[in-house]
Parts: sequence; C-alpha cells; structure tokens
Amino acid sequence: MSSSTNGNSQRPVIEVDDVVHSFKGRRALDHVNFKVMPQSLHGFVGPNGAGKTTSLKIICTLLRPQFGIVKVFGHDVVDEQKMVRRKIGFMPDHFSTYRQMTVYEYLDFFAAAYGLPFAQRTRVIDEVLALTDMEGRKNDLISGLSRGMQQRTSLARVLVNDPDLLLLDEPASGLDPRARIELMEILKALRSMGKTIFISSHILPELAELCDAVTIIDKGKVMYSGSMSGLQASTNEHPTWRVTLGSEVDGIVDRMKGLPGVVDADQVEGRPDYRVSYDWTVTDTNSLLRGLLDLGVPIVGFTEDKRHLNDAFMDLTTKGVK
Amino acid sequence: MYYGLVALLTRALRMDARQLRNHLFRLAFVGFIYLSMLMATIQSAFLGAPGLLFFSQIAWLNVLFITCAGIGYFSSAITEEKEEETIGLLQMAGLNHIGILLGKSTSRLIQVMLLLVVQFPFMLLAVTLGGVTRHQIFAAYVDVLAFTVLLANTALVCSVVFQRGGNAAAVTTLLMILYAVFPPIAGLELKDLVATGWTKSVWWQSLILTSLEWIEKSCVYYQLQEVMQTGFDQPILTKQVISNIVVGIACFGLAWLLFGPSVNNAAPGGATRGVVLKSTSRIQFLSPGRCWSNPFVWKDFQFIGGGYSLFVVKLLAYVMLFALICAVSVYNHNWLGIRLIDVGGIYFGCMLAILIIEACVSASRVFHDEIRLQTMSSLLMLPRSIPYIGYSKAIGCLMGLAPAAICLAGSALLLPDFRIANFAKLLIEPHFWASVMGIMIFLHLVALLSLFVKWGALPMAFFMMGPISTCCPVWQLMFLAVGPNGLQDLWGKLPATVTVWILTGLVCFVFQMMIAARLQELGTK
Repeated sequence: MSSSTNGNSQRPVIEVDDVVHSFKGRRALDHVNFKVMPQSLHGFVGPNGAGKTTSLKIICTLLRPQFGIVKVFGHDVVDEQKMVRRKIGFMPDHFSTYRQMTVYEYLDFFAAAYGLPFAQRTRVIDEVLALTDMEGRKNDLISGLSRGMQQRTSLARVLVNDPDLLLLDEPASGLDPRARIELMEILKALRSMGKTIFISSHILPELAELCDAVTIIDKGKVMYSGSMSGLQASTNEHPTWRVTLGSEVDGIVDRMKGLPGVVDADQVEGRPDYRVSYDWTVTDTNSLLRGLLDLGVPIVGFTEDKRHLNDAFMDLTTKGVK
Repeated sequence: MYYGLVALLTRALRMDARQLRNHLFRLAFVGFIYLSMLMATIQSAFLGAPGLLFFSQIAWLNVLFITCAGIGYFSSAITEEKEEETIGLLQMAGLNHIGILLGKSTSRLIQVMLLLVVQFPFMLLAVTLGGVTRHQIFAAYVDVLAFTVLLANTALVCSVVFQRGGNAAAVTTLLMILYAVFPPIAGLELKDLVATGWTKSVWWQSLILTSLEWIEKSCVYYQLQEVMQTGFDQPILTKQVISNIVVGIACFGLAWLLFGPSVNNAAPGGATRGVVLKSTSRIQFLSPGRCWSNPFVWKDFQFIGGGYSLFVVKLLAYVMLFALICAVSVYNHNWLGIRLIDVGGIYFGCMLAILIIEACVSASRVFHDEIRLQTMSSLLMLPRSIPYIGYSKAIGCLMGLAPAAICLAGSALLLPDFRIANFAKLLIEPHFWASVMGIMIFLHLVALLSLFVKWGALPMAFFMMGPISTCCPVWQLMFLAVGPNGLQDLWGKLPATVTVWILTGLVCFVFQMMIAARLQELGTK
C-alpha cells in the first residue's frame, strides 16, 4: 500500500460547512461544522441517532446534503462525486459482503470494479490480505468467517483502491475484545502509512487511545470538534495522569493531594495505580512529575489517563437526560 | 409451555390486525370481487348462468393467487429467520419448536384463510345471479381452504429443511407441479391397472387402486372443475379435502420432527454457493476463477446465473430432456401419444417455457440479492454509474440463460416447418414482437417489484400484469398496432413492428428509470 501524499498538508481532508439534513421533518443534522485534518485519526462520537451515520453518508456521497457544503480533498461531494469516490473508502456499519464468495473473489471483484488492471489487482489483493492478516483465509467462504474476520474482510475491501481517506462507521461494533484490539492495531498501521481515518464508534476508551482529534455530535449538533487535548480545556476538566508505583505506599494519596496544583488523587482499586488530577492554570505535567519524584516513592509508570473522552462525552451529550 | 406455544402466533396475528396494509389488501380483493360481480350482472343480460361464471372466475383467481403467492409466502416462514440468523434468539426467548412453527407458519396460514373468509359473504351473492348453488360455493371454499393447508405445510417442511428461502420456494414449486401433474397420471394408470388385471392378490390390488384413486382425486385444480359442473351434489368433505388436510397435518408433524436437526446442524452464516465451485476444487476450470474486466457481469453470471458449473449442468439436463422426449416418442405405447414428428415442437415448447421461467427467476434476483446482502451502498460507492452497474448485472444474468437459449435455438431447427425464410419473416412479425414486449415488460416489472418486497415479486408481477394489460394506455396502443383493423392492416407489418419496438423501448426505459431511482434510494438507507 502506498502512502498518501497531499500537496498541501494543512488543507483539511474533510470540510463540513453548515450542513443541514432532515428526514421526514426530523432534523438529523443541524448546521453541522467540522474539519478533519490530513493523516489524522479523527473520532466521531455521539449517542445513537445523533447524526453520525447521516454525516458519514453525506461525506461519502451516498446522501446529498439538503443545505450546506461538504468537501473532501477540496472536491464538492455533490458536484464532484466521482473524484471523491476515487479517493475514499467507506465501510458501513453492517457487513456489506457477498457471503457466497470467497475472500479472494470478493476483493478481486471490488478491485476490478475500481478499474485496477489484472496484474495490479493481484499485487494489491496480496497486500491488503497481508495487512489485514487474512492471507490464510483467502479461499474461505465469507459466510463461514467469524464476525471479526468478516469485519477485516470489509476493511480489506475498503483498502483495495488505496484510498487516502477511510470512513469507518462503527467498525468495532459486535466484535469480541481480541478482534477489536486487532482492528485497532490495523488502524494504527494504516495511520502510520499516511491514511486519514475518520471513525465513528461507541468504544470511547479505544478511541481516546487512538485518536488525534474528535468530533462529538448530539441531536444533530456538533458539541465539540478539535484535538483530544483541546477537549479537556473545552470541558473545563483537569488533566489526569496515571501514576504506577512499584508497590503500595501507605498514605500516598494524601501526600499526592498535598502537592502544589493537585486537585484530586485516588487509587485504582486493588492495584498500586493512582489517578492524579491537577489544575493546569497552577502547574504543568513536568512540575507534577517532579513533585511526585520528590515524594521518594518508586514510580514505574506515568501515563496520561484517557478516561476524559468518556467524561467529556457524558458531559456534552447527556445534558438533556440530566 | 402454553405461553411459548402461542406467543409468536398471537403476536403475528396481532401484527396482522394492526397493519393497515393487510386490511387494505383484503379490501382490494373484495373490491375486485365487487367489480367481477358488476361485470357478471351486466353479462347476465346476454349470458346464461352469470353467477356460475362470476363464481368460477373468483374461485380460480383464489387458487391461482394462493398457489403463486403462497409458495413464496409460506416457504419463507422459517428460512427468513435462518437468513437473518434470528432463529437462535427465538429459541432463547423460550419458544419451543412447535411454538416457532405455529407462530411463523400457522399465523400465515390463518392470514390467507382470512382472505378467503372475508370474500365468502360476497360470493354468496353469486347464488342470486343464478347458475350456481350455495352448496357449490361452500364446496369450492372448503376445497380451496384444504389446499391452502396442504400448500402451507408442504412449504413449511421445505422452509425447515432448506437454508435459503429461494431454495425452499423452488422445491415447493416443484412439489406443486408434481401435485398438479401426478393426479392425471394416476388416473391413467388406474385405468390401465384395472384393464390389465396386473396381480392376483386382491389385497394388493385394492390397496394400490385405492391409493391411486386418492391421488387422482387429491388435486384441487381437478376438484374445482367438478364443483363448477352444473348439478354438482357431492358431499363437501371430498377425497381432495380429506387427503389435503391429512397430508398438510402430516407435513406439519414432519416439519416439527425435522426442525431440531435442521436448525441445529445449519452451517454458520446460512449462505452457500450452490453448484458454484471453489478455485481449490478438483475441477478448477469450472470455478469462477479471476474476475473479468467487467466485474458486475462476472459476479452475476457466476453467482446468480450459476456460473460455469451450472452452465454445464443445465446444458446436460436440457439435452437429457430432449433424449427423454425422443425416448417417449419411440416407445410405441406411450400414454402421452407423442410421435417422433412431434418431438421438435414439444422440445421447443419446453425450452421456451424453461427460458421464460429462468429469465423470471433471474429478474427477481438480479437486484434483490444486493438488497438482501446489504451490498447496495458498497456498489454505489464505486466510481461507476447506476446504469453501468444495472446493465452489466443484467448481461451477467442473461449469460446464465445461455444454455436454455442455445437449446431453444437448437430446438427451433427441429421444428417440422422450420425454414430460414420463415424465421426472417418472424422478425418483422408484429405479433411476435408484441409477445416479446409482453415478456420484457413482465421481467422489468419483476425486477422493480423485487426492490420493494421481501418475497413474492414474481407472483405479484404475475397478478399485476392483468390490470396493466387492461388499463395501461401503452398496452392499448400496442393492441392498436397489432390488432385487427389496426396499424398493421393500414400501413403493413413493418411500421406496426417498429411501433411495437418504440412502445417496448419506452415502457422499458420508464421501468429502468424507476429501478435506478429505487436502487439509489436503497443504497442510501
């Protein structure tokens, strides 16, 4: 698979500008605006019925926006449909597979449908099979594959035309933890190859782990769109770091709370892991680490706690429920 | 236990009662009866026994409708759960096998019976029109109800045994053809057996003769003919009614017995590729191989048309059919009375029928399979236009018809009066093109309907062709072109033929636009 190259790396890959779309009088998208930057892994989260799939279908040219402009790589999704389709790969939220075909036949069909010549098809199929680790199953009927394998086959199909942008609608839904982790590894590999990935998902911890940016949508309105770090600032959350000690130390939580700028500290139940939140207007990460070292405890791990996407999601999308 | 038994049945009936569509459909059926009655009243001024005419029309319509629509409706009862992989959920919800069978199939049987029951009071009005007695009406409805029980439960067995609705419907159709064909054969054999005195054992003779007699009397189609006879006075519980209900109940029992093994041993995913071979098989050259430059033609030829392997199988089967007809004709005492000179004509007729049936099945699957497998959105995402995809798919399906078309062409050469000149004349014959137009429109209608309904596009199209051929202005224009004192008589054959071509093109174009719009709509869902 070739790496994507963009002439202007600062130009957004996806530009959604003031998009409105309604179904039978119900507004699915209400003046939606967001941008996806090149070579990023951009999460798209929201409750069921928030407008995620509608947005994705508009971006991938399956739906025409009733109002507003959507551009993909600078091409309008309405006026330059073919150009957009050549550059993107869309994986819907259901298995869109011909179950009576073998994996190889399925990929061969889509590669030919994208107009790849015979020799190139063989090479590309071998590459995507290797990337998705499906080489050993290429002669299996799709109907006989597990859910995770079928999802990988779908992903392999999306990759046959070497798209610069991948639009993935709930790719991890219904997968077991192993299949989910494997899928995320493939996505990481794809990002490292320079692909831009726009992924809609409900599995927030994994998105938080993986994504550079996120758009949170609720009831057709964008509640937040931007970098993961900016999400904390926008929700007035305190940055939280996870400190792992070599062993449990008595009274350490209180000592941590006494550090300058620290607003909260608690222990993860049953483990020598501690979550420490600090006020970013008073201190910073370096100062916090220095303070922790000064406490003289054996620190074996110091990582950012990504739980904040969960919290932000709850804060931004459940106000109506509260 | 009791709850599990009737839960699904109650739910299905409640759903039916709540859905306006079902009531409207029944109302439409009653409306049709009303129209027929109106026509019969008008006809009574110049025809005798208008009531019998009206009654026989409706009775035959019922049987035809139940046969055609019922095959798809009943045979999908369990297969739809298998295809959607929800049968396990039903079992986990505490429904036992008999509960599922009752809920999924018997509820459908009751729905069809309701269609018959709702017409019954109106049908009694036929008595006042004259020519038919109340007894005949009762007898006919009981016959049709018994047949419905038989059909529903035969289809239920197929639905339990097969993984896919299409296969279940195909086998049910085959069984229904046997049901229609077997009784006259049994009748002929009965006469032969009586004449030859084939065995000295009275018990065996009695058993065989009784069985054959029951088989002869078991078919609703022949029974209805008897009911329509003036002066019909047989009891309501005829052999047809008893045999149909008994076999129906036996089939339900069989479905119950087979349910567990069939469902528990089902392959995961439920989808198989029939006779399409894998590239790893021993006869690799018959496998689909690598995709052609037009992938849509390749896909539909291989996976809807059956591919190379089904091509060979079909070709062999059609050649064997020819050999069979020849063998029957050379057998001196064949009861069908086929002579060697008739072989060409009979084979031509058979192949024409097979070609049309195959074309209808392909038309019903060409787009429906994409909807069923939820692949339309993926296809629409390709940098290809909908017309390109649609026409390529149609070509793929047409290639699957090649064995039947080759044999049809071959059989035309065997026709006794076949001449190249006659064939050339046929090509400018407006009646010939009018027939082709009818088939073309029918196939388009089937393809379009398959995008709207989950099952039964074929029987639905069959029934819609009636109103279309009577009400559609294009159809009337076609009659004007080819009919007596029409365009053909005024200007000659060629202008009439060209008119038929234009009209066909126009209608097909409109259908294709509608299909494209619907595909776009479904792809975005």
